[in-house]
Amino acid sequence: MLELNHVDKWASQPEVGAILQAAGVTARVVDAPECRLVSGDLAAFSRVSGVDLSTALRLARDRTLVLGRTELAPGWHAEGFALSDLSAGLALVELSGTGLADLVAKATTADSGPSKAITFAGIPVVLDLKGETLGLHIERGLLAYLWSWLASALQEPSR
Amino acid sequence: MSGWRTQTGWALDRCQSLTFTFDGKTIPALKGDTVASALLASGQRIVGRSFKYHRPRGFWGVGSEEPNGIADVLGAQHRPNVQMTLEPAVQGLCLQSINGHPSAEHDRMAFLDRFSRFIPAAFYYKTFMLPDWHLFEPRIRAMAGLGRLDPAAQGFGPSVPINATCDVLVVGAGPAGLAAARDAAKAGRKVILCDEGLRAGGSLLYRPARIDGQEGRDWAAAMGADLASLGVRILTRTTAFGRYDHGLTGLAEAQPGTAAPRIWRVRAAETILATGAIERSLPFANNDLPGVMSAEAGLHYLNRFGVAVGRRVVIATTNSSAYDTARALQQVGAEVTLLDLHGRSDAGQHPFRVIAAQPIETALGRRQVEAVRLTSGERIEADTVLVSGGHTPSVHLYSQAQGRLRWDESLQAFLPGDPVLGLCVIGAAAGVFDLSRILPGQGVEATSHGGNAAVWPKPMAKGRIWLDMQNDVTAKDVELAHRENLTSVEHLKRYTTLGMANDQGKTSNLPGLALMAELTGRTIPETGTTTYRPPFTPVPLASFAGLRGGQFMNPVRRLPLEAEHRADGALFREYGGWLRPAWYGADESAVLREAKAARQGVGLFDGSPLGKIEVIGPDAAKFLDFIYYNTMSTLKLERCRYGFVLTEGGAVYDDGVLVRLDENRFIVSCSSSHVQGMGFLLEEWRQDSFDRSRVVIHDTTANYATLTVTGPKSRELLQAVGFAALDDLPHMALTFSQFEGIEVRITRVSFTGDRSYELSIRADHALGLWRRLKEAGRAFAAVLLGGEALMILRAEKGYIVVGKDTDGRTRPMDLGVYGPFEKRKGEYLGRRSLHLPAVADQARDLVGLESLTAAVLPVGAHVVETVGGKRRSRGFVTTSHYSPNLNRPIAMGLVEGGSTRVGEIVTLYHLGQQVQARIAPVCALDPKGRLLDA
Repeated sequence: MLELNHVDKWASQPEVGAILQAAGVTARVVDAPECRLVSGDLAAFSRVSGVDLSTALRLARDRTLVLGRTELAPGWHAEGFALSDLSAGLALVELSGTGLADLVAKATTADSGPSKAITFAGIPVVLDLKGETLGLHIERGLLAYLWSWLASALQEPSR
Repeated sequence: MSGWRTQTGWALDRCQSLTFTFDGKTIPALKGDTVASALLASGQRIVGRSFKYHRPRGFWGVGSEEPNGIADVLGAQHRPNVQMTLEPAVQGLCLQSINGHPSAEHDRMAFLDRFSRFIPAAFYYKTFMLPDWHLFEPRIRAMAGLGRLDPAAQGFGPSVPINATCDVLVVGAGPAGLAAARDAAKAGRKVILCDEGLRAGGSLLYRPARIDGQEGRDWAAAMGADLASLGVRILTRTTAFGRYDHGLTGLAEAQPGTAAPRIWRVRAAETILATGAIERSLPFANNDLPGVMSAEAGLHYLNRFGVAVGRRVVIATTNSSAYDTARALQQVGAEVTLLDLHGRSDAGQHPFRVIAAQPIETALGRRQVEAVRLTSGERIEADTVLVSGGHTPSVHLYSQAQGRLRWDESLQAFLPGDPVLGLCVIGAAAGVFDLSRILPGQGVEATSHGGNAAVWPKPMAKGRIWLDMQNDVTAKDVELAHRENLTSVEHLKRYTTLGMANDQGKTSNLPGLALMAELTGRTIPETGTTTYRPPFTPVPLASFAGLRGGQFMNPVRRLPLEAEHRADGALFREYGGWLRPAWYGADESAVLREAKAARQGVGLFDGSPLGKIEVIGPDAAKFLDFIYYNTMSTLKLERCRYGFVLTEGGAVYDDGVLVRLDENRFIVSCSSSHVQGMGFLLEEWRQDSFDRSRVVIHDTTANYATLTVTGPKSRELLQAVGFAALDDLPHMALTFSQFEGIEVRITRVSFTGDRSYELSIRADHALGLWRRLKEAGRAFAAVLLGGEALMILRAEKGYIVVGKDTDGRTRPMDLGVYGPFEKRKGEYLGRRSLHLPAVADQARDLVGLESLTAAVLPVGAHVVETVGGKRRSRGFVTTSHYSPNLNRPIAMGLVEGGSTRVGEIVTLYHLGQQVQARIAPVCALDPKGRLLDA
């Protein structure tokens, strides 16, 4: 008896470099940068590491996602903060184009606020707006879902 | 006799004709028609049958207030319960009326109306009881409801909801709404304007008026263009269906084809309700006959859609707005008689007969209006009765925003009372009916509304006076409710079902409560209204779902090594929110082979979803002592300890291994299906009860792949790969190593009961390590292990899976872990509940169950005992497999008092069959745990 292979129910995971273009939006899977999750006394972290906090992605009052390498070891730092590596845990999708505002209106109820951690297409996402390009840092295991969602949302007939 | 097409009707394109079918009949239409206007023009009078009595019904109104004109759209474009008054006529549309079989015209169930005396309101509370009401239930259910859903149909296509913010949301694009939108836009504010109609304009689309020298309709069109150029977003065919907290209004925008209406979640700093008012009917006997319609609708059909709704028309009105209707119908050649119930006798001024102060006593006719009889006794031949009992302002959204209504005695209407923050009500919705007051200083010339006097139904009137046409509720039903002492307006509603159908009482609530007020000697405001709830008109569930269905419903997480497993022939299933290999190979026989080979040699298992939540900080140890049932602060560096985390109710929420990396750093290695839940639990308690500056929670699960090497040959395999110094690594300990320059965390932890190592490496470097393990594994006949085989291996050892071998009541003591409960001092999560005596009632212990035959015991079977002739459950089978390592079936179950009954034979009951089993120790293989060091 042929057993249903559940992997056939789900769309496959896109590779780095995959591109989607529809409804005035270009979506790209790009190489996710090295990054570290830092919680605690963020000012102390900034002093010790030399990282400018305005370049990091603030997630909560006492939490930020720092892109790029630092010399600091993971774990607790006596100055009052903790650091963990997330470099392999996140995937990055970049969105750009004239249709971006309409897509964002479909994807999230969040308005602009101090936290970059929002719910986008139903999953937790960390936003990184660089000029006209919106980066979405998501848990790597959900990349296939987000990619399919973007395809459907961009391909539904517009009004 | 009935409706007919005139030369008027600006909305029609007479060059484009089309046809659609209704109850199998082909109906001609013109582009611009709605289904209702085309049906009326074709002379179709009976468009449906009423819900309970199957009385013939015709159109009453022209918009969303319409109670009768509902039909199912059949075929590829199937949609049930469509309001024909708002549905554009398109070529080839196929409609079926509701409640009439085989058609609205000829309905087999029409005889029910003759038994109406026996089936008044609430009859079902007093009947269909003996011998057992379940006997009647299927037939009654089949008769309930309005339209019919075609189960074979595709259903609505998805429409993604849109989230919008703006400065001003204006609901209703009639004259008041258009003017308010323009004022706001001119002041530089971001405005969204919506209207449920096909186009903006409201009453200006059909009611004669001149504004600033322009025809009302042209003024409205010019306003529309003006607003668009000012950047106002105008949404038509869009109903504001509900008002929610914090300035949120829900809009439903109709979509083409079968796509569900699109929801707009609009958060506006200010919302202006210009929602208009709905015309009231008049109470007289048989006022539900096809041909009795709203006077407003009569005017609307004529001026906009070029349909005269009748040839011999009686118009009964309490106000002067209906005079527009009379004049317009007269002009196209209808014979009009106007009954001015207010008693104005300026009869001579009109080209039609005006009778003052003579209400209608009854409409006459069998299947449609044939005549009316006035209270004076005079009989007037007519085919149509257009009624206007004044207008009821649409205050629904204001009320949903917790606005308190106030009764206006002169308007005989509930109006918005005290202002609600961020919300204001204008125009007819606020009881302002005169256009010159709505658009002051714009040279308005329009018929004055002249009063809003209502005629409410009176007690003990003769004949059947219809209030709610959707649920077939008459004035007598209200009197019945009163006699049975159900006099509160909320009881009246539920007892008679007045106002409970699709139309939610738009034309029936007020007359019903006015009658109840009179019956109980109260004023109308004393009687009050029922609670206004969204949605204003029905919104399909598909609209709220948006894309969330199919593969977007609870999507699975994907493994970093998924492609590699596919290449190795894995069959995948969904485990705890992840897509994981169930077994490798063509068919399920692989499962037993994998389980056997892993215990004899070595197995490789992808355990990447295993939780890796870091708890970091000087208070981490103290924090974890609180979180876990077991004491954790005593855990030594680079050691692991198995423990439970409880719910506040004392049940086991998760089990797992805690790993201590250093003084201030731990990893909570929770079940892969519980990672999100555990993450929230840890963060919640951190914020609630601990110093946030001294402990933090970082979920790093996704950062690592966790590759498990298990079996007696596991150590040799790892040494062959290059991981030395594992000889010294005791069970439940941690060490660090490297693979091609990348750090690998190795914990010696076992879920199989064999010697076992879990290797955690950065997910983006996992492939290299996995391939190396496979390659080296060939020398040891290593087998790839899927989830199903792993479940058997752990079941042989009696290791639990939380949620499968435990349920919402299972306490740690039920699993044989008493120590912390008996010995721990100090607070931990769930402790208080464990000490409640009630929690100990009906405790069920986890035990093993041995089959007495070669047959595998059925999972989910209940352990039963017969008490007083009745079968009672004393527990159930939680896990059951054939064990290839023991060559017999094994099982586990939760059984009351099980731990003291080892050796006893019990009876299992499952799907009508009984089978026996013996209670056994939960660990079936290697109870002393020697295989851990093999």
